[in-house]
Amino acid sequence: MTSTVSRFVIDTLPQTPGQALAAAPAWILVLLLLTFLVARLLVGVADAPRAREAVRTLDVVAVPLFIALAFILSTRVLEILPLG
Amino acid sequence: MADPSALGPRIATPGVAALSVAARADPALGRIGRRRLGFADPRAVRFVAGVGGMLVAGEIITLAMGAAAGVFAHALVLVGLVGLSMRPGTTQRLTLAVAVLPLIRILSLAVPAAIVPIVYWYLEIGLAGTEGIFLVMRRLNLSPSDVGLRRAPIAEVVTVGFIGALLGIPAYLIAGRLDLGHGGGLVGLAIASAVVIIFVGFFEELLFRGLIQSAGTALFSRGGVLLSVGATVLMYSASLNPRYIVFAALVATLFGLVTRRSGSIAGPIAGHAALALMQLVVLPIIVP
Repeated sequence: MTSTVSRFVIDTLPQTPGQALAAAPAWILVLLLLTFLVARLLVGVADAPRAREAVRTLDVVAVPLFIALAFILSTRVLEILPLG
Repeated sequence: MADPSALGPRIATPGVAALSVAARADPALGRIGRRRLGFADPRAVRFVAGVGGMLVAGEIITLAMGAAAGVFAHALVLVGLVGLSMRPGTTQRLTLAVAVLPLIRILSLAVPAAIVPIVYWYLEIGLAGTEGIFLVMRRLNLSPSDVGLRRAPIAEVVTVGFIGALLGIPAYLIAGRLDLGHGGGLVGLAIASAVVIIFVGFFEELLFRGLIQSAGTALFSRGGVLLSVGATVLMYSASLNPRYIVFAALVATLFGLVTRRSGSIAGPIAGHAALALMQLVVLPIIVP
């Protein structure tokens, strides 16, 4: 499967949402997401030709990263709240 | 050999409709939009080699320096690919399609793996990846038929699905036990089956054969199959199991050839879904 990760790094992967939020990969993910969102806003308001296409190109990365971050945060909420 | 033209109307390869304008403008593109043999643009070859080198470097950095460095390397590759795909040109479609690969790798390395059943880990990554593919299609104005989502002969779908189910046995033996449907009862089994069918079978075929192969076919004719096989091998190389990587390459070649022949990814989706279902859900129950 495409999401397979190497057994050499599997031990270093975050196991819980708390670890995921504290680990460097999540911070890089957040930084990347913020970069693309800011770029999207700037391109969106720019009076430039092909701005619409550029926004759509940035969406290709920004939306999946946002979904991933939302999932990490929602599982973190489930982890710390005594639900169920 | 029978004359192919005598076998009825030829079915166009995915991406042909989107390339119809380019086909008229570019003499190197044939009547149905495929690039004629011998017309591979050397710049495109160098471009693909460069992009492939960047992706391989990202994988090597992940292996050598760990998940954090790997995510950083793949993030740089992703930013580079998105930057390149801003420029309209012949390689834009391929660049944007390939950008989904480092995106998937970043998600794989950043999303927590143990708080939920492992099947939901695949669900998280597959959901975000599928959204990425649909956004690539929206950006490039690709219709479903442009990426091979079109009807195929039922005999082909059933045959490839059956072959895929059989290939699930060697896949299980080579890759070892990974049970996605264990411990959840019938509901868990149904959820695992749905996740495997949608986010392994459908998602991976849409990415490798639908997006990448069709973009590669537009650039390199038969090289499109090679490109999709290369992308598959790259993503499966993380297993670090040489036999599994060779197996994945052979299966990807089969699915690539089926897609090239029929112009539809329906058969490969059926085959891949059956293979994954056998490998990850059925066989772990039957052969614990």
